[in-house]
Amino acid sequence: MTDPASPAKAPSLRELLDMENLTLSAKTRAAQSPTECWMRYLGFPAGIALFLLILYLPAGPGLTGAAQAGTACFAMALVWWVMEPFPTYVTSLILMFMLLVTRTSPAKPIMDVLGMEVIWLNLLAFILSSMLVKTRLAKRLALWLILKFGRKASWALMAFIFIQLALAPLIPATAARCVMTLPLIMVVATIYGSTEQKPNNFGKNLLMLNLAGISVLSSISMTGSSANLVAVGFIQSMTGHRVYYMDWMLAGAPIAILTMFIMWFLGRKVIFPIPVAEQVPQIEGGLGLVEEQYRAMGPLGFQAKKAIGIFAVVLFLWMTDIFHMRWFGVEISAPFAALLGAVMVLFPRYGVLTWSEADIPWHLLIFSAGAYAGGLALESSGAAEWGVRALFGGMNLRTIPFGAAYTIIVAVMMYSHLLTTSKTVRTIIMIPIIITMAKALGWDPVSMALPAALCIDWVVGLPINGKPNVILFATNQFTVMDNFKYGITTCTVGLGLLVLSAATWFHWIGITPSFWAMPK
Amino acid sequence: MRKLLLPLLLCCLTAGAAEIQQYGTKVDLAADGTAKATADVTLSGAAGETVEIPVGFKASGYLLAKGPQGLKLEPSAGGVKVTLPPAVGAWTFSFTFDAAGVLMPEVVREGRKPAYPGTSRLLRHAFVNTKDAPILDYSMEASLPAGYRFMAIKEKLPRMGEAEVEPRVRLGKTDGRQTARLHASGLKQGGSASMLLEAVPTRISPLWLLTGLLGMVLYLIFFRDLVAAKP
Repeated sequence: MTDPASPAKAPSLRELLDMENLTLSAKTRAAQSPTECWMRYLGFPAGIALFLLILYLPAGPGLTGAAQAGTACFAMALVWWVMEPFPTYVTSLILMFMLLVTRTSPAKPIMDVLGMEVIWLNLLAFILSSMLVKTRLAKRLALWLILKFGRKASWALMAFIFIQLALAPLIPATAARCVMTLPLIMVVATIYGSTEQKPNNFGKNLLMLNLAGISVLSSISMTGSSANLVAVGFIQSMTGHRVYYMDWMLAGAPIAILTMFIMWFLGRKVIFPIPVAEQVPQIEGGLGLVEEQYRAMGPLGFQAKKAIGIFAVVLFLWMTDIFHMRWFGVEISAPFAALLGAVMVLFPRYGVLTWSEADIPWHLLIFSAGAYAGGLALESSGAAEWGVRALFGGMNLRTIPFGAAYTIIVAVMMYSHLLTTSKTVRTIIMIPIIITMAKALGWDPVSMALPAALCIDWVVGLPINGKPNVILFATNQFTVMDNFKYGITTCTVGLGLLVLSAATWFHWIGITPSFWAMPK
Repeated sequence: MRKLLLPLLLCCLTAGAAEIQQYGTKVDLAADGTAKATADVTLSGAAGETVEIPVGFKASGYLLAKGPQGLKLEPSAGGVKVTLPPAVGAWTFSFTFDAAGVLMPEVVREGRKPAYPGTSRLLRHAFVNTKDAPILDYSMEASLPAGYRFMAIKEKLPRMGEAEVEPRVRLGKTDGRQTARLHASGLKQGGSASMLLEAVPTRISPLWLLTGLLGMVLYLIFFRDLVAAKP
């Protein structure tokens, strides 16, 4: 942890904004406290112990050997990702090997994860992100943002909530949104003195707020992610109830937006309190120098204009994906739009970058691949579904009022993201079970399924849980434990608001019955 | 001509009227691959009608275990032929049979690599409704021999429908033995349901434990500098 009482000597703005420093390096962040040292030391045996414990447990009735072994492997990797005895990408490689030797998964599906859409999107988006950095568009935007809103840390953080709020309905792909804003986030963090070498609490707040904002604000609309639409499809086919765009928005938007403002406050004041000294830009010469730097950049150069043009094309394709089939006879999905952008960026003579200038963090892609291989193995071996059924099957929800059953179901949905790496897979497993259970209990299935569906996008607990999390984790400015603390608090705030809404707002607009109603 | 056609038409109508409401088979597997099976059937049909029921196993030794007076059971190609009592209604009955080749080791073709370890056994069951009568609800539950557990579900068909929630194959436990239940509904003539599961001995190799403990000890020794007091 950075000592808040004695901030490091402020480097010059030129040093801070030197773009060479903004590469996403694969170096392991040094442990910053004795507790972290012990966590790393004990993390390895703790992971092995958990693996052996789960592997040697008596066979569960509904569990295959592969599912049990897969759970053991994933639990071990989870402990290692959190306690970091190894770099996260080494843990991912070990996990992939373990999935094979425990016969959880055959070799092909494990290897195939590196060709998944999400990995491609990450890779291509990093090329676009490098373009923003190299053409200094990111620096220009960040300096402008700081001059407009950055006099105080709290305003700068607030500005990012509005940026993510504006982007959420326009770009459904969370990774795309993340990569668009990543260079901006890094430059602003740098101006406030938070770097990979010396991360501070402002940087943690900034990264965590964006991590939460990108995911949570996707739940504002039902088109915010494809998993939302899968849930709407299940609700319609299994209950006959059609969820309209406005139904979803009326329920989801207030909760998502309110959560972000609560986290903006809690983050700065409670989770990662920002010392007074860090609440202003950490640069010699203050904002005057920032302004001077901004002016010194002069008007937009040709390369920067080219970069804006390329980004506009990609952004246009990301935003208009629902019209592609009619316009082009084919849908250009988010990775392919980014691929087109990458072709333009890397085009000889007329492009913006050469391949060697693109900052592609391969360690991050390997980390993602391992996490996805583990997540998919849990799904394909049936471990995830077995876990959900065993959890709900062990509860007697018939004897408790609606509000209590609702709270349990929504809480399970909210926190279950910690063990999954795909929103869609989680939706496919959870939503039909919730609908069936609500029917069996005699409740309107929509009263349980719609609020549960609102939790789909809240994948903020760990770096492995979502694409933006992995990308932001690559900045090396926060630990897995930091992510866990902030993410769990975000989910708990969201859960509290969902429960409060069930007792009030949702009941008034006809989604839920009385909070204290008993099953018929 | 008309005199001939009319009885033929009536015959076809009554033959097609039989319907199997419920058809559940419980199979008790032995380690040598043989099995004892009990099928519970509920079907409706015309008085005295003969209904053919497919079994989906290499079966022999059919025996009517329970059923109404007047119901007759005899083996037929690929199943059994049931003659209903001389009254209209829905009839419930059970029959038992011996099945072979249900839980078998992998057969490795010459020149091919084995896909499973030598200790694995494959539970393969493919049921096709080859007869006229539609089966509204079909299930087959197999109990593994003691000392075995399922390693993985390799295949389960047909694919789940959008409104289906129950998994096609559900694992459970009866009398300390792991079971796999295949379930499908609405199997008309030609409709099918199948599953392929790999079973392995329950005992897990102690090598995992030894390797894990050794790894833990070695790590704690070679990485102890992580928590060593800094000079």
